[in-house]
Amino acid sequence: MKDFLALCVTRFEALEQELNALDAATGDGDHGATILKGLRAAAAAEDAPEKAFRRAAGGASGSLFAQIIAALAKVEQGSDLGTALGDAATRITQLGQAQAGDKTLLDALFPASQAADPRAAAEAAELGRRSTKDMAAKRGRAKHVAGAGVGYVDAGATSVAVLLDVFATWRGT
Amino acid sequence: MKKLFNSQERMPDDMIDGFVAAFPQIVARGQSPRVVRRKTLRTKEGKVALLIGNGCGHEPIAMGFVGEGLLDANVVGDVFAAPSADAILEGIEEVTGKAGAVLLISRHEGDVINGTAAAMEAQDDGLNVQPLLMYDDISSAPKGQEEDRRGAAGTMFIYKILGAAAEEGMALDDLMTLGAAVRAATRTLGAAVSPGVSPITGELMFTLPDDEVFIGMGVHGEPGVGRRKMEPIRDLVAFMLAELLDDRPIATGTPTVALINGSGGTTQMELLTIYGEVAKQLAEIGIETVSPMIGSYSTTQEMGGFSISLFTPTQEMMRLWRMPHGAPHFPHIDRQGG
Repeated sequence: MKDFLALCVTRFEALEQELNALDAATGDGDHGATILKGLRAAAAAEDAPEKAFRRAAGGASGSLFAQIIAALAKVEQGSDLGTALGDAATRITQLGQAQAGDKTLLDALFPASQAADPRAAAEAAELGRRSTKDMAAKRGRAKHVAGAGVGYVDAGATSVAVLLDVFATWRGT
Repeated sequence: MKKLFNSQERMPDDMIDGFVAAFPQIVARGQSPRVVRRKTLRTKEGKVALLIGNGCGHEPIAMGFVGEGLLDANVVGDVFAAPSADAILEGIEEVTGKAGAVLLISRHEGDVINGTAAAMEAQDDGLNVQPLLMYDDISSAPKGQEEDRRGAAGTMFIYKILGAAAEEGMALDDLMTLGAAVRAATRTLGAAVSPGVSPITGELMFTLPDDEVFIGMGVHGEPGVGRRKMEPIRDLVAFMLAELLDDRPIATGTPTVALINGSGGTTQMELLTIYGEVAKQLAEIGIETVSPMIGSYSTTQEMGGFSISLFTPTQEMMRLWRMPHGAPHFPHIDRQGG
């Protein structure tokens, strides 16, 4: 798991500015920085990477993405991928009171949870991520912005797709 | 804009220092510096704990409501920012005993996400914590979608009534049921006349023309639902009461508690005038107002404006509403008669 998280840190370091820019279209422009902060702490933690992630990332994103980190840690310990991602999606739904189609990270996570293996999950998340471009935001700060973010892919959904892509690559090696 | 503080970073902590220094017999800092708790907790002796986390900048809510017969703890976030799930979890761990805890959550996105995450994790750790979402602002979602509404000043009925009931020994499940019943009996609508200054940016939080009132603006300057021209207060009150009673009709003869909350920059003189109009206009349609709460208790810095909350308590709720308490900054409804 530490190897995987270290790979995530490398990948998100390269993506940080792009994610911040995506977030700035509708939010406060710190999504990339927030996720990276969380991942660095998770990669350095000896156990419970999701708690280290949540504490370091802070805010609502910290609580939400910690569920995905926890799910991937469970898969690494032998849990079924679809079940783990599905449980994470359920918890995130409860936390954020969001649904599919609200232009959130769930639009990448729900399709991924239907997939049979890590690569298929990453591909499903990528398609889900792209689908957020035409959606109008119903949650978060984005819903108050003129146009509700239509025309921009969601930064959170992008992060989910990237995390799952790194996960698939790591599991494939 | 001028603000009186040492540094922006220290604002929440300096404020907590002052509060704890002022009321050392009543409150204490928890093990975590952002947890303000009752000095003497009864939760380890079987009392259900009652707590809430929230961003600061809205005082006296909620820190000022920690005390006997009200909150056991308040977890203080940064200015206008929900505390992290970890901070809320630390607050839960600090005060929760075998009887469990009610975690109050005023329905704003960050508070809901972090509060619910903290409650889930506490449950995973074996603590019996139930989150109670509070929402009362009729301008934030239409009738029929009450669960999507924001928490506003009317949430203070829940704080007080659950605080009194928990002190008397009510069990967790019954507190949750009572809290939902108080929520169902409460509606709030606000109006803003001038912006507050954000302590973070030093800027006005919104702008509005000198001759206009925003209806339904949120406590962080979230967009309202409409604008009206400035008019004698009786006309604005009439409009707001009509909206409130349209959302939730109140039958003639139903004892009703009115809460007139100031946003921070509106004077007690104005708030009392508003209450006078509310009481008079309700009386004209056969609704008697009793045991009101009037003052600036849930504020947004120096924002000018107010909200009207109408609450129709059962006799039992009314008894708990009037129960004496020991919180430094909650009004003493028990001492005002009627």
